[in-house]
Amino acid sequence: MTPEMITTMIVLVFVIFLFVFEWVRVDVVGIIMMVLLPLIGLVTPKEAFIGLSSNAVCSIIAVIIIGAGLDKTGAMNRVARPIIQLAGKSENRIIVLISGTVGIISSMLQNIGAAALFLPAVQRISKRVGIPASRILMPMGFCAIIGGTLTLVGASPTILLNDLMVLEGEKLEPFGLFTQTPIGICLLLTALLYFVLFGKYILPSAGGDTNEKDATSSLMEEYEGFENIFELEIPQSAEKHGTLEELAIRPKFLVSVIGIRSRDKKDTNLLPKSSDIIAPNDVIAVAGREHHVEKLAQEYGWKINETLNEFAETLAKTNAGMAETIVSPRSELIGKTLKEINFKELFGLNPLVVYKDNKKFYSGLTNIRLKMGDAMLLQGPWEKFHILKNRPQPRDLTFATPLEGEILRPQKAKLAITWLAVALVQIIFFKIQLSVALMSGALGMIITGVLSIDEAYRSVDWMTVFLLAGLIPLGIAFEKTGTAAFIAEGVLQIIGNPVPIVLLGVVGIMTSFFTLVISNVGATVLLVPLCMNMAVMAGGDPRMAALVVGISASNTFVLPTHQVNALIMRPGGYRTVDYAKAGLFMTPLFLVVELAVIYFFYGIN
Amino acid sequence: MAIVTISRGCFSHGKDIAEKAAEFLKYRCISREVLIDASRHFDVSEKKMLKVLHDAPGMVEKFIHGTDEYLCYAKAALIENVRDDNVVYHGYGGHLLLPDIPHILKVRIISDMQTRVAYTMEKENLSYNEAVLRIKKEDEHRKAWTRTLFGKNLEDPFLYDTVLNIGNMDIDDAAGIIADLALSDSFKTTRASREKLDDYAIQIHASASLYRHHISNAGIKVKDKSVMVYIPPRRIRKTAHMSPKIEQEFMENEKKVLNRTIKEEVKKIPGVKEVYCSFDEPFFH
Repeated sequence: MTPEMITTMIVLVFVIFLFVFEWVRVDVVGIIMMVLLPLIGLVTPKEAFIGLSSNAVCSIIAVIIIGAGLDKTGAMNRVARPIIQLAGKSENRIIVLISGTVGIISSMLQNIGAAALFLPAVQRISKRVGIPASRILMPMGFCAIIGGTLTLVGASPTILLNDLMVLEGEKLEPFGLFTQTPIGICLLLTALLYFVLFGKYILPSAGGDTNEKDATSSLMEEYEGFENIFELEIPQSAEKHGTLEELAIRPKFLVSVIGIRSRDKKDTNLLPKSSDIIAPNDVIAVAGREHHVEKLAQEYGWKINETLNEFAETLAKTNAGMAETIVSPRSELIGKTLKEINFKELFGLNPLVVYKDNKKFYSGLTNIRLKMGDAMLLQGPWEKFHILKNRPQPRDLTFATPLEGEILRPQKAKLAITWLAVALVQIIFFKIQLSVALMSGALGMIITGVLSIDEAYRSVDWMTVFLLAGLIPLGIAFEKTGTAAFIAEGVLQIIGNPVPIVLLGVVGIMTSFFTLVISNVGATVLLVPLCMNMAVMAGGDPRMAALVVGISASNTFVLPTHQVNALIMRPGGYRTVDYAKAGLFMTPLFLVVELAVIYFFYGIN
Repeated sequence: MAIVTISRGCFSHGKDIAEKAAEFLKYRCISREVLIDASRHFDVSEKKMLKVLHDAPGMVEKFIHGTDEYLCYAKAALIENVRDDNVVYHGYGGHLLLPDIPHILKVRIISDMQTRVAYTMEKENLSYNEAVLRIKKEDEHRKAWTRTLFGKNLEDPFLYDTVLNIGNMDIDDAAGIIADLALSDSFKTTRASREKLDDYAIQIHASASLYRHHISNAGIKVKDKSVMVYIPPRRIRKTAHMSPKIEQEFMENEKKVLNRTIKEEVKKIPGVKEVYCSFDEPFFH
């Protein structure tokens, strides 16, 4: 053993110690490595920071920006909607369609994002169809994790592989984006089959939390005067029409008009004022209790539409909603009425309720004199809420509820998908390096206004960036000093000289175990150099050994602490033991399928 | 008006003394059966409940806090049985399962080895050596249980209000001492001690209720029947990239679901006035 190898061993023990006991966060371990390794001379200063410019880090940043772009345009919601409609009422069909889609989405985008996209829908379906959420959410979560194995950029461990595959100073041939896809597809199908066949035996029937109310629905429940938003048609023959003031809808029926659509003028007014006219053939949107709205419709001879038609887009949850605000100290609104400040014109929002002196006022709002601490329930487009929130201090109104809606750019959805396609075409057909192709897609999105550069910067997950960037030099030091080869030789002396597929089996088991105990990226960095050396010594393919490590690092089903499992834990009402139960079979199944595909598809035997 | 808990070394006539003291005091006499009943009430395995109440947890159970939930249910069952006072409890760790409250009289009964061996030989029809072995094994069990679950030494006299060595005492005398003590002013239920016990009962019931909803790490304080629940950070391992937006949404959603569950469940407990929740954000690592 050389002195460098001894030092590397000490560093490795230190790193494993930090990984296991987690005294500092795993990304901080990465930064420690960036600093420590060049200081003790195991890597050069240039090598210490090479991770920041690595293929892995640049690819992950680009993937995150592309994901944020798709998110910003609501493109993923468009994918989700028909899938949810297709899912129907059959438990197996729901599991296959939703989990399969989540798996495919997480092949390129963040797995937790894919799961979060479908989570509210699953909760709604579960409530409607009467299937416990726990029966659908775990398959969905497991498929989100497995989806990460479909492509090289689906999960952090596989993204790292190309940067870690160096043997005796020589870079090995890098993996393509879809090299591992056959394994990922088989794993995804296995998981789906596993839950369809055995789901009822291994999944609990806990109800979980199916109360998927968003902030607007919760507010409507709190302010008892509102149950829902309804759409009313004013028939051509309607006798009752005129200005809002004349019709006295709010004082008489406690119903607030929040939109008037004039079909004749082809104009939609989302800030109706008392002087605005409701004419025959118009459609109006109102917020109120169902029986109040029925009474209004009955008395005035108007017709209630079953769903929102004319206002479906403008009042969709992604475009508009409600928020509770409070008159701030030193606000310019103090001592004034809404009429005096021309509130609707000023803020572009509809005040629905004023909560003053512990009383809720549903009508006569314009004449109420505001004082500090009065609360107001406002309704309107998210964009206007954001403008209100961004006003300089001291703000007139402070938000008492989180502002759930963000400004989406649905008109840019096609552009976002085009840029993703451009990136993929470069990778598949022109064999352009992953990071370059993906970054060009991300750049395209920024240049064409899918998302701004600041939004792109804000979307980056710096923890993952520094985790990857920091641990790459550790992998380099492990290999460069010959420590990986030394340990590999020792391990092979103990386990003998197995045939390649058996060796890969050992590698898979080792990685699956390590990834339960320590970070999956940490496990990959430590095991890739080691396992590649073992493979070479045993006469196997080092690239396959690296691939098995990268994929097996996603074999994390038995613990609820992993991010996707954590996301679905409370909504699914799961206990730790439920993950252990479902994961106990999934973990060996994952390894068996992975190795079987490698054996049959990649010709390793 | 008091609650008497009697902790006894095995085969030390503890049960007989407890029953006699209850007879003198005209109190109810209850035993470990009330704890085992908790398994039915909370719909958990009776076998596991018995194991938790008898055996010290192993390394794995200790590490994953596998016994905490069952102990909480046992505490909830015991507090429900004793909170109306006038009760003598003998059995599994009453002095540890109940809080340190003035009107709870905690008694430890000990006896010399020879007396215990003789009693065991007679009661269990064992030889001398078998009886000694049996007593030593049981003593070790109980010591380990107390040490592992509560970090206390069973033989520490400071855990009790009084320790009675009944080697030279008959059952009636020992029971008489306990009864006299229970009726003394020192162990009278006062308004303050009653309120303290009520708050404790709410705390234990809140804890049991949250365990039922898989919330196992909540810190619960109760003052004047107002419950303050603190949820420590949840450790979540980042296995793939996660945008700050999703991270924020995740945290908000987690808090929302927890807040709703905690408030709904704790408010169901009789006597609870208010429920306040505070949360630490999940910790991604």
